[in-house]
This record gives sequence, structure tokens and C-alpha cells, in this order.
Amino acid sequence: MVFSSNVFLFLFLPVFLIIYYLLPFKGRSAWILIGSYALYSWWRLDFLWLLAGVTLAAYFFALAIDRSSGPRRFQLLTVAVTINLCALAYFKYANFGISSFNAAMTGLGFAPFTWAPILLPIGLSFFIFHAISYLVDVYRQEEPPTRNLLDFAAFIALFPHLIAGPVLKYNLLADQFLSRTHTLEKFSYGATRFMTGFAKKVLIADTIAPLVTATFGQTSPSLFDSWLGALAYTLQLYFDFSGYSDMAIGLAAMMGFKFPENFNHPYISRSITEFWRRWHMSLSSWLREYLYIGLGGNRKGRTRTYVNLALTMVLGGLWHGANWTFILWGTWHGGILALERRMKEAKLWQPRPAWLTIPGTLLLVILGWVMFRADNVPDAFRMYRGMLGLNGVPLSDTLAWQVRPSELITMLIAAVLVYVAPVWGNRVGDVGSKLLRPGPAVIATVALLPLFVLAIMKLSAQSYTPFLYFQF
Amino acid sequence: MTEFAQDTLKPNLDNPAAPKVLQWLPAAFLLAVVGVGAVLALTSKGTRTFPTGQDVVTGQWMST
Repeated sequence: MVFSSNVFLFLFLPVFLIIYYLLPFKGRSAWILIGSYALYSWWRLDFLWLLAGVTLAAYFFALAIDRSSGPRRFQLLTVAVTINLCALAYFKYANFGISSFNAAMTGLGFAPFTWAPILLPIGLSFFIFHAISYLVDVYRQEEPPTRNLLDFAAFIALFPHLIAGPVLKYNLLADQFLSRTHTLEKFSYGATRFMTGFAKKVLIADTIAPLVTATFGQTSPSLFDSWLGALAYTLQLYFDFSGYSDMAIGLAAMMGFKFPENFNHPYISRSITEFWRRWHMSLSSWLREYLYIGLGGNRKGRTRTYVNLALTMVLGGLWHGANWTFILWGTWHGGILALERRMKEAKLWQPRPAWLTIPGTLLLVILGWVMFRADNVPDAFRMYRGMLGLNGVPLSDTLAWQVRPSELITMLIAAVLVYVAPVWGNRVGDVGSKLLRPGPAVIATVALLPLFVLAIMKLSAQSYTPFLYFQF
Repeated sequence: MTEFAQDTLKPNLDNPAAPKVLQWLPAAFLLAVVGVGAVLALTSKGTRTFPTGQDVVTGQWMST
């Protein structure tokens, strides 16, 4: 069940909220757990054991780590993290590993190994990361382990972030499980964020989606085809995932929780370094804290720092999915991050005007997104050939009949929004900021209401379109 | 270390400067839309499906 579905909107959400607000505070964690498990089970009941198992393992291992001392603490952490990584490896990477192995075997003339493909449990990457961060924080003594299994289980399963993030640390919400306020203002803020995300997802991302599918499906895309597809996907992914994040933050606020932001206008970045401080910020923060620092960070010399940066991004890429495309996408970003750091250290990084650095960074990001979106590496290179004009320039006949004016207009509106929103935020104030000017904020909110209704009507007419990040 | 997001926590709630109408209108509107939609979906005669063809109870896709 996705947030942008009628079942969620008209069945799950009202029932959940009514019972939630009827219960006393003490009963709300239990209801969050029941509701979140119900939402997860809607997809498949048989993977609920995995979610519950990961939760129980993290809870008890954290207690054991806290009670231990000396080398035993590290041994327990190693066992606990290994269990989580094994679950991730089995469900997420076994298919990829065996198919890669089989490709090599077939190439050498041997018979391939036969196996039944393994289904990826939805949200696995996210709840495994939540569990690992909790275990590491307890090991590092950055937070004491919780004794409240109910609150901890409700945190891991909390449905706004269960399926596709944001990636959160337990200590961010631990106090909020013990005490949080429920005000009409907070609920209203959550409703605004939820409706904003819903409109971004349904009206923009889903409208552009068919164009992306059509362009990336071209066997020999022209210059126009491939750039149109790359730009469309750049916008689709941003509005899809930031829309999902808005909905998650909004739903959490409706329950009184305060989630961190996950996006901060990433397409106005002036470097890839800045891009990663603005895109999927919760994942970026997680990678820095638990992977980059775990690898040694910048404490082991200059060369090792570059290697750690690149390796963090390669593994971050692999986290997105078991495919060479994600590994190459991570390598692309990791390589550029390391290069930018090297240039800064060698004093070769000079300040450049925004009109040069913003499009330049965006170009690098778009080139990365092509690899990220492609089904496989040869498909990505077909797109790159098209982007270089090696397959001709004009729009292909096979694509021309599939492109609708509504898709192009939506792309244009989306592009304007991407660059107007930061200016609006700075001059007028985002809805949640203290810079807010009442007049424009009221106009923006009132304009949002019919857009939300329009999005519901569109949702009822369109086919099922899950969030892009659900696959990760 | 500046390559990755340092702290993703930004103030995003409790805005004392918000106009009064923003403190209740979005909540009232969302609840009204969701409430009306739920009532319409559950009281529709002759069907247990939402307009998309998804079954109200099972979530399975009914239409072909």
C-alpha cells in the first residue's frame, strides 16, 4: 500500500488517525506498531517475520552490547551487524550474485547454476539501516539502549518512514516516543506537507513517468530523444522522491513526530559535494556516520581519504540495488567527490559564478541519473550514445507519437518550480520557517487545496504507479 | 568532512509566525476530503472497489 493510493488515503489513514487520537498517549505506540505492521502486511504477510526478527535482534543485541565490556562489545556488534548484512545480502543481492556468477560460468563454457529468484521484501534496505545505526550508536555509547521494546518496535516499523525512508536514527525519535505534543497547528503543518507531496507525486512525477519509460525504451535514441528522457527522469525522480519525503514528514507531523528534512533544493547545487548535502540528506548523513567514518574517514592520510570517499559512494550505489548500473552510478559520484576534494586541497578549486557551476553540476548529475535509471549498462550506454548525437538529432518517429503536450508542459512547470522554490523559500519563507510572510503563504496554501483534489481525481483515473524508491 | 550532509535536522514545525488560517485550514480540508472519500467508497452500491479497480478490503486489483 503506497501513500498515493486510494486505499491508503480513504481507508487506512482515516481509520488509523481516528483510533490514534481516541487512544490515550500510552496506547499510541502500540497502535502505531499495529497500524504499521498492518500496512506492511498489506503487501505480503509472510515477510512480517523478517521485520519483527530484525527488530528483536537489534533490541536484544543492543542490550547485550551495553552489558558487556572490553573486546566482547565489539564481538557482539560484529555478530549483530553481520546478521543484518546477511539478511540484506540474501534478499537483495543473491539474485545479482548468482546471475553474475552464471554469466561468468556461461562465458567459460560451463552450465549455469539453477536457482529460484528471491523476492526482495519491501523496505528491507531502510529498516536494516535503522537497526544497524541503532546498534552502532549503542556500541559507540552515543545513546543508551532502550528498555522499551514497544517503542523501539514502533520506531523501526513507523509507517511514514518504513518503506522508503527517510533513514532515521533512533535517538532522534526516542524522546518523541516518550513525550510529544499533538496540536492542531502541527497537524495542519503535517496536512500541508502531505498534500504538497501528494500533488508533487501524482501531478508531476506520475505525469512525466510515461515519457521516461518511452525514451529509455528506445533501442536507438536520437540526440533529442535521449536528452528529453534524461531531463524528464531528472525531474521525475526528484518530484517522486521529494514528494514521498514530504508525505512522510507530513504523516509523522500528523502523529506529533518531527522528522528531519530529506531534500534541500538539490538541483541548485554548485558542486557534487554540495549536491550530496542537499539530496537524500538522511542517507547521505547515514553513509557519512556509519560507513565513511567506519572506513577511517579522513584520519588515515590523503590517499586513503579519497579511497574512502569513493568506496562509500560505491557501496551507497550498491545499496540502491543489485545491479551494475548502481555500482557505476556510485563510482561516478564517488570519483567526482574525491576529485573535488583533491582540487580543493590543491587550491585548484576557484569560486565560479552560479550561472556556470549550477548547470555544470546539473549536467554531471543528469549523466549519473541516466546510468541510475537504465535497466542495464548497455542500455545506459545506448542513451549516452544518443546524448552525443551518434544516433541522429531529431525526435524519433517511434517516440514522436508517444510524447504528449501535457508531459512537456508538466516538465516545464516542474523545471520552473525547481528553480523558483529556493528563491521563494529565501525571500518569502517556507511554510515551516520563521521568515514566513503571511500573505504569500496563505495564497500558496489555498492554491494547494484544489491541486490536492485534482491529484486525487487523477489518481483515480491512472494506473498503479509506485514510488521509485520503493524498489530500493 | 563536508562531502555528506552533516545534520539533516531542520526546524520544520512549531511556527509561531504562521497565519491563523494556516493553523487549521489544511487540517480541516484534508480530513474533509479523506472523510468524504472514505464514506463514498464504503457506501457505493454494487461494488467493493475503489475507482482504480482496487478492492476496498483486499487491495487486490479487480479490473482487467
